[in-house]
Amino acid sequence: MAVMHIVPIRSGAGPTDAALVAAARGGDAWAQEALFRRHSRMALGLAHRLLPQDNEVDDLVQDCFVSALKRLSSLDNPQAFAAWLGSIVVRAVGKRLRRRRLLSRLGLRVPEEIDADAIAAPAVPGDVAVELRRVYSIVAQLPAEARVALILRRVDGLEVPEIARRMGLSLSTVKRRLKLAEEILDRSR
Amino acid sequence: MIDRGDDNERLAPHVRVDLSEGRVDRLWGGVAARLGGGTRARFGWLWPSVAMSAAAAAAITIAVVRARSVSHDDRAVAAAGSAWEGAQLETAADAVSVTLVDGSNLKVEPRSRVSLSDRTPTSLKLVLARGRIACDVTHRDGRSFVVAAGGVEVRVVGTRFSVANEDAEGGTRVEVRVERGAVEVRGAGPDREVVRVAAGHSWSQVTKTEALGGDETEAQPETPAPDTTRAMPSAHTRAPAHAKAGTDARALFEQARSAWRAGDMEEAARTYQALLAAHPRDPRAGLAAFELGRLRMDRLNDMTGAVQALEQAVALAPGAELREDALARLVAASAAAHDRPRCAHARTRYLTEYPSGVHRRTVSAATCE
Repeated sequence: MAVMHIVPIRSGAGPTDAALVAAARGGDAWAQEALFRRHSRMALGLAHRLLPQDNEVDDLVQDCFVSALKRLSSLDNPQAFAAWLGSIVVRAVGKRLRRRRLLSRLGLRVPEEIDADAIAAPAVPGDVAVELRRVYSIVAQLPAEARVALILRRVDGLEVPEIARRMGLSLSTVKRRLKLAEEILDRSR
Repeated sequence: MIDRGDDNERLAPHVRVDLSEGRVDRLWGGVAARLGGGTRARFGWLWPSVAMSAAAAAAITIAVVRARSVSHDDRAVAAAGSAWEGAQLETAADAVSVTLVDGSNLKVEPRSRVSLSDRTPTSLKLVLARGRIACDVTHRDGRSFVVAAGGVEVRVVGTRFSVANEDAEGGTRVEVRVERGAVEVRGAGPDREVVRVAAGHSWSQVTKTEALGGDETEAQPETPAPDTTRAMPSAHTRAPAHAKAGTDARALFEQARSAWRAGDMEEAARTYQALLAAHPRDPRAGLAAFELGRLRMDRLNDMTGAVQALEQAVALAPGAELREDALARLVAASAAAHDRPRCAHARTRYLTEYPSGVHRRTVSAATCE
C-alpha cells in the first residue's frame, strides 16, 4: 500500500516575505515554493491584464519566477518581494510586446486580436464592463510602453510614480506614454 | 462611465482570469523543475490528485508504489532505481488523476493499467498495458518522458497528449492523440519508423496480438516480431505531421519557433543554427541568431555557444532594440564563459553605444574578471 506524504504550503498567514526570502536565499526549497504560492496569483493576474487572452502567459509567469528566485540576492528589501516580482513581470511583458512588434513587422506574426467583450469577469457592474471594454479595445494598437502604462494606470489603478518604478522608466517618460495612450483612448469614445 | 483620472478605484479584480489551484500547481511544477530541485525533497514519486473520490480510491489497486517519506534527491533515486521499477496503477470503474512531482499530470482512464518501468534523473518511462492515459507533461530540459504501449513508444517533446492501448480486430490498437505541443512516436513495425505528431493530430497502429508475446503487461518495443504489424490510417483522419518542414528560411524559422513552443529546446537550437548556416543573409538571420543566443544562454546552459550566436546577432543587427539586448547579453554570456577580453570589450561597446540604455546598470555591474 502506498504511503503518501503531502505537505501543502498555502498562502496566507505565516512567515513574512522577508523571512521567506532569507530562507530561500539559503537554499530552502520550501521557502521558494511558499513565495511562489503566496504571489503566483498576483503575478498571473497582472500578466493576464497586460496580455489578455494570450497563451504565452503561463510561460512568462514561470520565466519571471525562475528569474526572481534565482536572483533573490539582488533584492535590496526582502519584504518588498511582491513589488519586485511585479516589476519583473511588467518588464518581461514589455520586452515580449516589443519582440512581437518586430516579428509582426517582419511578417512573422499575425497581429494580436483582443476580444474586448470577453475581458470582464461575469456579473461585473455594467459601467466597469464598459470601461474595461473601452481600454482593451485600443491596447492592441498601442506601442508596448504606452500599452503597459495605460493598463497599470487604468486597470490596476497605480499612481504614475509607481508605474515608473515598475516599468523602470523615468516619470516624464511614463507621462508621455500615458498621454499618447489617453489621447487614443479619448478618440475611441 | 467611470472617471479613472484621479481616483484609485481598481478595475483589476473584475478582469476574467483563471487562478485555479490546478493551474498554480502546474506552474509551480515547471518552476520547480527549472530551479533544479523544487519540491522533490518533500514528495514521493506519485502524488494522487486530492480530488479523487473515496469510491474511486476503493477501485484502485496500487501494487508496488513506494512513496518515500524521507528527503531524497535524484541521485538517491538513481542509485535505488530498482525500488521504483514495476510500480503499477490499475483502475476499475473510475478514472484517477495523478500528479508527478514535477507538476506533470496523468489521467488514467477506467479499466486501465499503467506501470513505471524506468525512472532516472534523465528519463521516465511508463508502460500502458491496457486502457487509456492522458498526459499533461511539464517540460524539463534534459529529461525524456516516454509512454510505451503495445510495442509503440511515444516520446514526449511537449506537452498534452493521450495514448490508448485497446483491443481491436486481430490484435491491439494503439492510438496517440496530441492536444498541445508535439510527440515523437516510434512504431512497432519492423522498421520502427519515428514520426512526429503535432498538436491537433492523431496517429494509430494495429498490432497483431502474437507480435507482443503472451504477456500484455510487458510491452517489448525492442523485439517486435517481423511482418506481423501493419500501420493503418488514424480513425481521426488526420495524417501524422512530420518534422521536416522544408529548408527555406521562413520554414526553418517557423520550425524553430514551433520546437521552442513545444519545449524541445535542443531541436529549436539546431534549427536556428541550420537557418544561420543556410541563409546568413536572410532578414530573419539576425533574429534567429539572437533567439539562438537566448536559448543557449537561458535554457541549454551553453555559454560559449551563446557568445558565438550573440556576436552574430550584434553583427546582423536584428532591429535596434534587439541589438541592444544582444550586446547586453553578450556581456553576461562572455562573463559566464570566463571569456574576459570579450566580456570587457562588449561591456565597453555597450556603454559607449547605449549610455542611457535599459541594461546600463546591469552591464556596468558585470564582472569580467
